[in-house]
Parts: sequence; C-alpha cells; structure tokens
Amino acid sequence: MANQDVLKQHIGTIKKTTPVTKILGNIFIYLILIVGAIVSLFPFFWMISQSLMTLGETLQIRWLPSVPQWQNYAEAWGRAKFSEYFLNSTWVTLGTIVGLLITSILAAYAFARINFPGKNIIFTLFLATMMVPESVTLIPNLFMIRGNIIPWGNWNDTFWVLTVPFMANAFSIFLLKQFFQQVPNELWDAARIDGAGHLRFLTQIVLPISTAPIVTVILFAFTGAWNAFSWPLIVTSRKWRTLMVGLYNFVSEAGTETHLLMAGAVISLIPILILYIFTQKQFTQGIATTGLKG
Amino acid sequence: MEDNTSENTIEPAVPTSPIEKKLYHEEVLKPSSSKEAPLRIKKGLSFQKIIDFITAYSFVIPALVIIFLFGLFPIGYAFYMSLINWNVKKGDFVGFNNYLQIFGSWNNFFWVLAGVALLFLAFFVQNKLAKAANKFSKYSWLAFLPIAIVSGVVFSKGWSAMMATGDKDFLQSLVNTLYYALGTVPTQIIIGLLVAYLLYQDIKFKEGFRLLYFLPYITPAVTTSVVFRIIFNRTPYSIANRLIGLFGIEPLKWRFESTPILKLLGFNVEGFWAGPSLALIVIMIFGVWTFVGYNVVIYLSGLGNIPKEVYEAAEIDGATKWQLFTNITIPYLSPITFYLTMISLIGTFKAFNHIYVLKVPSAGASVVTASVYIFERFYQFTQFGRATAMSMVLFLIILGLTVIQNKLMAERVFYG
Amino acid sequence: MRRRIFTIIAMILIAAFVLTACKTTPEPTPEPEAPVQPEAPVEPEAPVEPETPESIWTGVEPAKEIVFWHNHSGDREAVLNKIVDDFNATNEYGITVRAEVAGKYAEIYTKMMTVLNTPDVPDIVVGYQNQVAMYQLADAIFDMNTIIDDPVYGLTEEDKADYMEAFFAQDVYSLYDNQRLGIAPNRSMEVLYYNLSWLKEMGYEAPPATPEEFKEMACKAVEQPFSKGTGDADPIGMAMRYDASNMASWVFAFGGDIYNTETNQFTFDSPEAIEAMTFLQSLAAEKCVRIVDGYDDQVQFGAGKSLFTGASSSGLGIYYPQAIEAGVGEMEWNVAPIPNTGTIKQNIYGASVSIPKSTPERELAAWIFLKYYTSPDVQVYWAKETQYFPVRKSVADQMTDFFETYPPYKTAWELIEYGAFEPAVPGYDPIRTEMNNAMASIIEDPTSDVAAIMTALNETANAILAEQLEQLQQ
Repeated sequence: MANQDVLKQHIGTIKKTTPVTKILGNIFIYLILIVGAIVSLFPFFWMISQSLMTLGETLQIRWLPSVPQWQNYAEAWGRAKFSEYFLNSTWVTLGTIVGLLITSILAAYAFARINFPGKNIIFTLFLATMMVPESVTLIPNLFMIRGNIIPWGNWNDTFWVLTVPFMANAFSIFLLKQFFQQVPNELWDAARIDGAGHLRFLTQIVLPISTAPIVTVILFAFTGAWNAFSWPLIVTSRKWRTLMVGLYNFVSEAGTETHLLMAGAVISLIPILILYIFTQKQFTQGIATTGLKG
Repeated sequence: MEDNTSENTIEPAVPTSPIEKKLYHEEVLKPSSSKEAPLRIKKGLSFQKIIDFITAYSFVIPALVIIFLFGLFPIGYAFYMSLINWNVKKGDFVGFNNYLQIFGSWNNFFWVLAGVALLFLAFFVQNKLAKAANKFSKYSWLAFLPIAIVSGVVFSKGWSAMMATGDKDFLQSLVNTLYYALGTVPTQIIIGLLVAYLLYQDIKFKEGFRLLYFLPYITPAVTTSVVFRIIFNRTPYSIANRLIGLFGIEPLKWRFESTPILKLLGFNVEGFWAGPSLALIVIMIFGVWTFVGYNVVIYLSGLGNIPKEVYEAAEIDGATKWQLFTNITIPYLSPITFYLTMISLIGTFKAFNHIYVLKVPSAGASVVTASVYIFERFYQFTQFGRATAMSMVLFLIILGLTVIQNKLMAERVFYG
Repeated sequence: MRRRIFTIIAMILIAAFVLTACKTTPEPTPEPEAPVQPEAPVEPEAPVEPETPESIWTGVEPAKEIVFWHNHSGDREAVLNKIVDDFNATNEYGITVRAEVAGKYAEIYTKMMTVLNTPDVPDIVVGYQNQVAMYQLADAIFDMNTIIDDPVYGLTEEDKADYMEAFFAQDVYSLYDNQRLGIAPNRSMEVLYYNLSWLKEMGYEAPPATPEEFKEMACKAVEQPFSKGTGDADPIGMAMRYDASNMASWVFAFGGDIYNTETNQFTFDSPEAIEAMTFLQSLAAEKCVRIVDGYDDQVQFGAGKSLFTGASSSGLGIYYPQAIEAGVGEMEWNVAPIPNTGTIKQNIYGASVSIPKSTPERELAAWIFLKYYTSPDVQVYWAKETQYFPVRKSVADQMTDFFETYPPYKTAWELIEYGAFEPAVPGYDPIRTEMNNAMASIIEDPTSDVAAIMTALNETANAILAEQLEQLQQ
C-alpha cells in the first residue's frame, strides 16, 4: 500500500514537467469545445435574436436587432392564447409525471428486487414497446380512447387522454431498475430484520437514497410530456390544447410574422430550460448510477 | 456480528452489473454484519414466496395495465388491421394480401430472406472458424467472402424483383431510412464520444458546456425544425449559404436538393451507391445536432466510472495519450457505446417529427423515410390495411436489426 | 438467453393478435343506420285544413345541441363564434351550436376517419371536396338534396338563384350520382398579385393579360429592380411555391383542365396542361421566376422584390397589406386574373361545410344552422371580417363600402363568374403531392421532358383514383 502512494506522488511530479504542452493542449480543447458549443447554440441564438426584431428587420441580413422589441413576447403570448395552453401543458405534465413515478417506481422495484414468475417475459415485453414507431399505434390508440374497443366512453379532449397513456413507459422502469438493483442487500436484510415488507423498504429506505435517478426520470418525463405534439394534436380540440399544439397553430397562422413566431417558440422553451438548469447535478448523477455498464 | 447469513438473503435479480457482482461477492459470500439469527428460508413454496408473488404483481400491475393497453395491445391490433382490406370503410379479411402488395410476390420475399440468411451464415462460419483456433482460423474471413458474395447476389435478385412488382415507393423509403441510419448513428456516437472525452479533461466550465450541448436534445422538435428550415433555406442569403460562401462555394439548394450527394460532388454513380440526397443530408445534420448532446451526457458519466488507477498504471508503462484512449477509454466505454448504438438505431427508424417538418416537394421522394411514408399511407391515402402491414414490416426490421446488433456487439463489450 | 427472449416476444405478440381477433371486436365503423325518414303524416279527411306543406321532415324535431368542427383560429375563430352565438340566441328552434376548433383540415380529416358512421360524429364539419369524397366512400355524408327543396326547411328558388352558380355547383359530386354533399360558406380564388408601381417604373400601365406579356414583364423585372425594394432578396419576376393549386390554375389559364368530369379521368397529359408547364419551365430556365419556401412569396412581394405572385385571394385583405407595410411601406398594387391564352378561367377553391350522417334530428338541426350561416346578412359579416368571398350575389350591394376600402377585393370579386375548380374525388390529396413533385421535377431541371413527366403524373393520378374507387364496389 505504501508503495502505491509513493508511486502516485511520483506520477504527480512526472506530469508537472510538461506544462507548455499541457497549456497548448488545453487551448486546443477549449477551441474545439467552443466551436461545438456555437454549433449547438446557434439556432437558439438566432431564435432569440429574431424574436426581438421588428418584422422589417427580420427580412434583412442582420444578426442582432437594433432595438430589442420586448413587446413581441407580450404580443405573441396574447395572440397565440398561450396562457390557456401553458396552463394545460402544466397540468398535463404534472399529472403524467405523478402517474409515471408511481407506476415506474413500483414496477422497477419489483423487477429489481423480487423474484417472481413471468418476470423476464413481462420485462422483455416492456422493452419491445420501445421499438415500435408511433404511426403503428396511433390509430389503434385512437379507437381505444373513443371506447370502440373497450366500452368506457369517449376520452376525447380530456385531461385523461393526455396523461394516462403516458403514465407508464419502459424507459423509466429500465432506468430505475438499474439503480434499485444496486441498493446493497445489507440494507434489505436490516429492514427485514426490523419486520419491514417490501413497501416499507421501498418508501422508507430505497426512495430517499434514489433522488438522482428519480430526478432523471422526472426530467425525461417532463421533456416528453411538455414537448408532446402528435398525440395532443389529434385528441384535443380546444379545452385541453397543449402549448406545442398551440405553437404549431400559431406558426401557421402568423406565418409571415417571423418575429412573433420566434418569440412564441422561445416562450415554449423556457420551462424546460429552467427545469434542466436546476436539476443538472442530480440528473448527471442519475445517469451515472444507472449502471449503464450492465 | 459474525453470523453466517448467506442463506437468508432474498436475492435480487442475478447480479449483472459489476458493482452488483462486487457487492454479491463481498456481502453475500462473506460474513455479513447482521446481528440476529437469520430466518431460515425453506425451498419450495413458502409463505414468503407467496407474499413476494402478490407484492410483486401488485407493484407491477399498474405499469403492466397501461403499457399493455396503450403499448402492446395496439401492436396486436395493428397486426389485425394489416390483415384486412381496411380503407375508409372496414373491408374484408384478406389475409396477407397487404403484405403481398409490398413484396410483389412471395418468391421475391423468399429470395430476400434467403439473402439475409446467407449473410448470417457467412458471419456464423467466420465466427466459428476464428474461434476454433486451429490452422484454418486465419482463413476465417476468406471463408466469409464467398458466402457473403452469394448472399449479396441472392439478395439483389429478390430486391430488384420487389422493386419491379411490389411497392417500390415503400422499398425506396426503406433505403432512405438506411441512408439516414448509416449517416447519423456513427456520426452521433463518434462526435459524442470525442466531445465527452474533451469535456472530461482538466478544464473549466464543464457544467456550462454540458448544458449547452444538451440543449438541442430537450428542445421540442417542432420549434427547432422551424429554425432549421430557415437556416437551410435555398435563398443565396440563407445562413447556410452565407457560410459556405465564406469558403467560396456557390449557394446550394439544401433542403430542396434531390440530387444524390455523390453526383453533386461530380461522381457519375447511379442508384443506391450514389448516396443520399443533399436534402436528406440536411435532415441528418438536424438529427445529429439534436442527439449529440444526449450521447455526450451519457458518455461523460461513463467516463467518470473508469477507475483512475488503470490510467495511471498504463501511464507508468509509458503509454501515449492515444494508446490510453484506444486501449482503455474505448473498451471501458463499450457498454455505453452498445447501449447508445442500439437506442440511436431504433430511434432513426422511428424518426418522424423533424423529417416531416423539413421535407419539401422538390426534394421529392429522396427524403421520405419509412415512417414518413407509412404516415402518409395512413393519413393521406387512408389505407389503414396497407399502412399497418408496412409498419409491421418496419417493426420486424427494427427487431431484426436489434438482434443483429446484439450478436455483433454483445461479445465485444468489455465489462471492467 | 436472448434468443429465447425474442421467441417469447414473438409468441406473445401472436397471442395478443389472436386475442384481438377472437374478441368480438366492436366495429369501429359499424353499418350506418339508415336515417329513418319519417312517413309523411297521412292527412285524414279534414278537408279545410290550411296548407301545412307536405314535408318528409315533418314530425322531426331538430336536435337541441349540435357540434360544429371547424379549423378557424385567431381572429377568424372569433368571428365565427359571434355568428354561432347570434344563431344560438335568435333561432326559433332552440338549437344550440357548439363550435369547436378541431385542428387543421388534415387533423379534422384524421379525426373524422375514426368516427364516421358512429354517433360520435360531429354534426357539421368543414372539409375540402376531396376529403368529403373520401368520407362518402363509406357513405357517411348527408345528401343535402333531400332537404334543399323541402317546402318547409329548404331553400326557395329565389334563394338558390342567389347563390353564386360556380360555388353552388362545386359541392355536387358527379362521382356519387350528383349528390350534394356540402355547402359553401366562403370561397377564395387564385389570383395574380402585381406590383403596379413597379410596372409603371418599367413603362407598363396594366397587368399582363397573356402569358407572353407576363413573361416579358417578369423577365424585365430582373433587370430593372423596383426603386423602393428593400431586404436582401434579389429582384425576380415571380416568387412562387410548389403548390398543386398553382399548377391547376396555370393549366386553366392555358385553356385546359386537369380532370374530365365526364370520363372521370385525369388529364394532366392534355396539350394545354403540357403547354402550361412548359411555359413555367421556360420561365424558370431564364431565371425570371424562382422558388421560395413557406410564405416567402408574400414577404418578397411586400418587400418589392417580386413583381408578381400567384396566390389565394384570401390574403389580399390582411396578409398582403401587412407584408407590404413591413417591406416597402406603401405601393400601388392589385390583383388580376392569371395570364391566359384567351379565356379567363380562375381556380376557385375553399372548404365547404358538410353534414355527416347521424340521426334525422341532428341532420335537420345542422341544416338549419347552415341555412343561417349562408344567409345574406351573415355572409356579409363573415366576408368582411375574413376577406373570403361571400357566396351570395345579393350581398354585393352591402359590400360597396368594403370594395372602396379594398380595391383588390373588388377586382377579384368581379372574376368569380369565370370560376373553375379542381376535382372533388377521393385520393386527390395524395395526388396533389404527386403534382407538387412533378412540378418540382419540371422546374428544378430546365432540361427535363415536360411531356413525359406530365404523362407519368397522369398515370399515377389515375392509378390512385382507381385504387380509391375500388372501395365503392365493396
């Protein structure tokens, strides 16, 4: 053991003898990363810049507006009736996340820590659903929610039609399962000794240490629900129209008013952005601990 | 403190991940720290097992119900629909007729299937020979060649017959999808890996960069594709054209250009080998732009899991940075690469939103990928029967590719 | 292990399928219940009853609540809502109409597909003629001929004569034995927008009447830019988009047609059609026109960079003035018929409203609303607010002030009598995509063989039509 420490110190000194190449290397790295970041960012920059121009300015070759037209945002908000759709999207997203967390946590726990017959078959079936293109399931799902297959009435344009079909998905279960599998059996033993069953173990021990993957699931679920487009497009009319559908309609309606269009687009981005900035840490942790090696 | 409690652990799933294996070895096979006498679990049907069964199923049922109703059952129903002549009106049961219309004739289908099977055979033979570790092993790839060539011939015979008598637009859309997959998956993975590696070095603003790269992934495709439309417009003053103008290149038609890329560059090739059209390439650029960030984030976390000691030991042995990268980093990241390749591959076959938004008439059929084509069959032609048949074929192709990818890569994945 | 798993997947999927097939799957599109036409009450001996006119609709109570699926959003939606509110407040039958924005035409179409011939169908729905033609393949739309001549609820002869013939005829479907499957609440027309100020600068006083004049002016515009032009685009004779209606309009202008209603076949390979497209190809070859994306044609017109555009008249009230204001600021402009080879033949289009089949009560209520919607006063309001054309001739008197404010509108209005339309056949939607692709091949490549492309297009179009019509035999 002692030798290793000595060795490590030694390694440290070896590295220090080449400072120049390291600095050059670093500059090179920064350069590439910055170029990459510019490429990543450019469309957003363009969006924001155009959203602050006047209509006339958007027609010219300009990179930046002369005077930022902040009122474009207010106008786009009003014209596109964003307040309604914003609220709808919020409710739908929250509802979906709550439902999804419940089903995924429970199911993932069962897959990860309990041995039961049929486990592998069911899990594989879940995975299979990830491979199916949307267009395949759209029409049958339409029939389903209209009550043509199971006679439960018509769900059209309700809160439920936008949330229930998405309250479970294989990806979240997969993610959580990987993490739950790594909870040390020691903890489980201890809990069992204390007379706890699976449910108590789950809620009192496993969940509190699972913030990272749970935040990950929430982030992906939020993104999915907030950005959802093709399904809400078909199954809602007015009452439950979501933000993305509203944006899409606005885009075609205000077709030539690029500046308003862009303002609308930026508005629809903000919630996701805020969420991501605040959950970065847990999110990256979550991905790391899902043990993607396995 | 030192009771042997190896029998009472109710096992979680078979330990697969390295951490789990480690824990299993450390915690189960050696004395644990539990205090009391263990519950002795008898084999067979015990009270505990029944409780487990009930608990497990009650946990799984909510997810199972939803996924079954909205995920699995629709697949079965779609299959049912594909056997019916279902257009605006629901027609008669026609068996596999809709599929026949895609293939032209069952002969064609079998030729194509045979071609694919022969390719499998070629790989199998090569594998077996290489593993046999005898004097023929060197010739494993030599043995591969003739079988592969035969498979190619058989496949093209079936394929051209299909194009002649089957649904050639659908088949062409499959080719476009293939172009799209080949163009985006390797690109995303390689760029993602490189960026993640760079980001992992000793630099500042890591969090910031990571955020920026991930941004395209979390933004809704509807929004970003609109912006891309404008950027890649055909006017001489669009951003893309101004950019290449800096390098002295004439303005291009970008999304509107249906000429295959190799022809544009001046090579006189025809058919499949001429490559995808410039319009499709623009769409690929969009795909890569969106997904690189996702790959970067995942690779980053993977990089964090590589033990430092391995690097240090290799450095002591005098390994260069390049050798470190190829002999340590890449193998350690291989499970992630495997996962990402699979996800990306599936994703490209399903990809729809941005392709739909970015396509224009002058790009013609060159940008219509399979999912777009199926969508049009559903909603423009209102031919549900044929559209579901096509989606079943697509689904099977995706399944097949996943299996192939599994076979090819699973063995090469290195678990540290 | 993995192989086993995949065989298991396959088995489960097959099981799922078997499950679905074995269950008595309730028909998503059940047999339409033939709307029971109530018998005309047999008038007994009572001889001196004042004439209640005989009507097969007697005894049918209009439904109290009906649903209207439409696609209008923003300002137009507000206008429609007002019309609906007025109807709800004033109609003598106590009918309440609920107007729902059901999406764009394509989304409405998709939704309709899953509810045809079921009770969930809306009572009134907007739709293009080709969409309605698709619905009728399932025999799902109410034939208005059964009520339009009704003594009680129908239209009087005067009324019928007041509808613009062109619009009124468009909803009669030759393919379905001349059933009347819709009624037009508004229409638009493809017109040539022209920049008069620019023309004057070049020495012309009037818009081109013939294709040759058009070509002369368009090509000259490239050499002689508009003095007030702004923005970064280069000057061009006409900025155009790939649009099937555009193609059809030019074919009409060259004296031809894209569809023959007597033989029920497409005629893209007719000499006039080929001539029209060759003309467009030559324009593109000489760089007097260019292709743009989205609404750029409007934008470039407004910026004084495109001398002409070929577009819908529905833009002349709001969108074009807006584009001009944002661009040049102010200029003289107007609309004209598409330059033609002798006879003016304008492409008239627009969605109609149809009544899906359900129950007699709902159908009657729906019809009553539609009569209101297309009545003169309502039409005036609708037209003025939306700049669509109203469908009633008598309305012209009430529109004079409107004509003063919007001279281009008046010009277009006077062209309505020269209307023609694109075919109302099932499958026309994917055919329009093929038309776009064909147009693109012709224009992108100045050396392409127009006749060959148009002939191929014709074959494809007829094949698609035949495919769709097969369903009629089922």
